[in-house]
Amino acid sequence: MKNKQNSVLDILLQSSTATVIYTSTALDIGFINRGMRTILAQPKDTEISKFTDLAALVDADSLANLLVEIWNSKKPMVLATYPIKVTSRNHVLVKYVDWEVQPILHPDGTTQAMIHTLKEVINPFDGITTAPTSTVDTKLAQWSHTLSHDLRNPLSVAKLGMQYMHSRKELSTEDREKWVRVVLDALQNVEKLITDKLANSRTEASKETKDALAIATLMPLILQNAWPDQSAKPRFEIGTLVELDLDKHLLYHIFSLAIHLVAQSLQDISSATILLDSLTSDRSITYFVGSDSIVTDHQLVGVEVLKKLMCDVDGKLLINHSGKNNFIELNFNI
Amino acid sequence: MAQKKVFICDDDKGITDMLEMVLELEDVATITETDSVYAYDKILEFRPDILIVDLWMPVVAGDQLIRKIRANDELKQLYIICISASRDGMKVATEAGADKFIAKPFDVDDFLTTVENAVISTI
Repeated sequence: MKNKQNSVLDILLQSSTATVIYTSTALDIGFINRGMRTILAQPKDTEISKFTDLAALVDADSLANLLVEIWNSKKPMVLATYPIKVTSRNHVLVKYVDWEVQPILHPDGTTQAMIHTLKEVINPFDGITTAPTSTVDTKLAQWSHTLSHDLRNPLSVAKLGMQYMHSRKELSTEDREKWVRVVLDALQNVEKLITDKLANSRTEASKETKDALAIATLMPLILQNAWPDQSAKPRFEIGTLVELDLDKHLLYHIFSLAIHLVAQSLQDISSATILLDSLTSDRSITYFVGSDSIVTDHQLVGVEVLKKLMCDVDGKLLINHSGKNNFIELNFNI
Repeated sequence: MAQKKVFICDDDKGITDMLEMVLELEDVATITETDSVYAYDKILEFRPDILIVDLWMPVVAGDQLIRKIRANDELKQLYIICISASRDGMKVATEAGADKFIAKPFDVDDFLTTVENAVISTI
């Protein structure tokens, strides 16, 4: 019997169905297989005894919070096309996974373990281009042209000045000092130009690498991927979608989690309608994600993760979950 | 180079100051202007013999100024030296009607030789 159990475990270890089993609320790991190590970019032979040993996970704290919430809720959680960030060869990769966590209960009703499976899915943004490389190439050409042009003036002054002083030995001390000051001013301008241009280009570059995507393109992707089981999908009513200047992966994460939180509390998902709308004020954009359907008395799992995500973008999260009112307010500072 | 008047127009004050210093030490009278908007009227007022003008300036670009000057018969004797950091400067300057083009950054001797030749041609 023991031999049979061991060979089953060996099979599970080699399986590419990524599986990890947690054995405590501290997320001690009782079992982790090759498939899970691969998705989470963990080297084959490293000792992993706790969730916190998964060093390549960039957002480990946030995921750990989510797992603990699931442990405490004693209810399974399924998230489709959920983003996780892992570090591999010094690069941060965003992977999208279907994730399922199943608490296993003691006879007394408390959680004794959790089985966690992941399956890597296609990046929802594959095939959707953001900033075309031709735009980036043009901007680089313009930047280098401008820098090259702007540097030539102070370099002209410095060059002329040095050449003149070198060739005119009969210059008076006073004239020579005047020339030296002019040359020094020019060289300081060169330094300032380079610093300013580089600082500006970093600001521009950070906007480019933010990898923004129009929210009108993003939202259908989220709604399409959030419910792989089409028969258990709610209806959606979409109002105004005000543009947000944030990284597309981050926006995807925020909105998919917000929609999932609202859906968790619905008594009957397939007959419910989820509402999405937004409002702009002087200093902020507020998104409302809600439902007018009857809610269950269900502790929402994932709130802390969403709170942290909103905090990371200097925003706020408000949850109204009582009686007939059921909405999440995401407030983004402009 | 005595008694010749040179008008220097460049939006960079470092350039106008430097060229003014170089030319004054060579005993040339200079007038400078960093705002190209006022350059044409000043040229009409001072009637220089030689104009040294940058191409890439805000509001009124150097080639626009040169074209306006060439359209005025009263200024047809004005010798125009165009200076520029722009890679396509020579083509633009020549098409606008400049007599000579010098690319920045330039050698002091090349610059002075060009101005000397300009003086000779305006005698």
